[in-house]
Amino acid sequence: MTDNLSLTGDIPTVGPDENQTVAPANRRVTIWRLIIIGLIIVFVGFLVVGLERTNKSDWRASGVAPDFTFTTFDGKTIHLADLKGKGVVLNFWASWCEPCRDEAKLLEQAWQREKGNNIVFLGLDYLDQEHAAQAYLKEFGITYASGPDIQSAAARQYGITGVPETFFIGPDGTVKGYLLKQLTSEAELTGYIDAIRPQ
Amino acid sequence: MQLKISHWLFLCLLVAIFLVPAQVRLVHAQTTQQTPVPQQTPVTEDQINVIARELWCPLCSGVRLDACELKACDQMRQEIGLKLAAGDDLEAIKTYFVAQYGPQVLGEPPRAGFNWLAWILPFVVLLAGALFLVMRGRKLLFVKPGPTALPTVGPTVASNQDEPYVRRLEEELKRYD
Repeated sequence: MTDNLSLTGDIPTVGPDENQTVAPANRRVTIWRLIIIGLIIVFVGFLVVGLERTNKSDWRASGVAPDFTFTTFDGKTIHLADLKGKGVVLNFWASWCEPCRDEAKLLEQAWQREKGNNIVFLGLDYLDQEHAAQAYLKEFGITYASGPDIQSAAARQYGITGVPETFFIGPDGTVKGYLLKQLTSEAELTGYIDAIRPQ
Repeated sequence: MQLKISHWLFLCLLVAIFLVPAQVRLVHAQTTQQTPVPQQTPVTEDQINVIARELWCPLCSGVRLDACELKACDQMRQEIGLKLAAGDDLEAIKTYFVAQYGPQVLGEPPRAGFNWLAWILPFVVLLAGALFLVMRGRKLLFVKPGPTALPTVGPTVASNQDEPYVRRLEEELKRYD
């Protein structure tokens, strides 16, 4: 290989100076290289920023429940940070979701039982229509604070993959437990609530 | 004081002149009051689907709202029906769904702010790629004559000069055989 290179290198060049003819081509290559490297840097930059944002919102890393604000169907504004010191049961639901219907009564009964014990129940309606959601709340007699999760903002923060999903947030604002499926029994729900009960 | 028949007629004419326009104004007022009341025209499935075709299911990926069989999408179509009956147009309905579900319901990034990048970047990359190919192609197809072209030197001189190299090349090639 080196022999070949030396061979070509030994051929005498005829005509104008080599540097004069090759320089513009080199400049073009350098500009292209700069453009491509620049684009790669910008792309990697976007990836890094995106990754950082994802990490910040990923409560699984820190355990801290992502803060959110929502307005209930009856017009009350609720801010999760204001509920520090209380245990929070956060349920994501939708009127079109059959398993949500199956657990709705269980949640309302638990709320009736726990509302005097510094436990707050919140229902976030995921990708739903207000008419259908209101009918659902009426059908199951839901009385705890429920409202639409506008543009799925909280759902994204909590990284939900579907409904129903329930998160149990302790008085210190950390997620003590979560259930990525339908609640099946009162005992199961009570077990989770006990973990977030203020001392 | 007794009024003559002609006086009575004149009085009736006056009353008629003042009352008839008032009556017309009253009728007109009633009609203008009635106009804004939305007429409950039944909204057809086709009308709903025209709008639904412009939106995408927020739960599935790549399924238009008119073709989606999920209950959630059925509810969305019902909502479109209600909004159409209330007199909302396509843009108003789209705005409502974007406010509720986010821009992904439109199936394309909104043409605003940072999202413009998603619209412009593919064309920029395409253009840059095409430009690169054209430049490379030109370089490959049209070899510039002149500096790189070999000088016209007599064959005997050339062969004499090149002889050691040719001999070396043949030796090298023999080694590969």
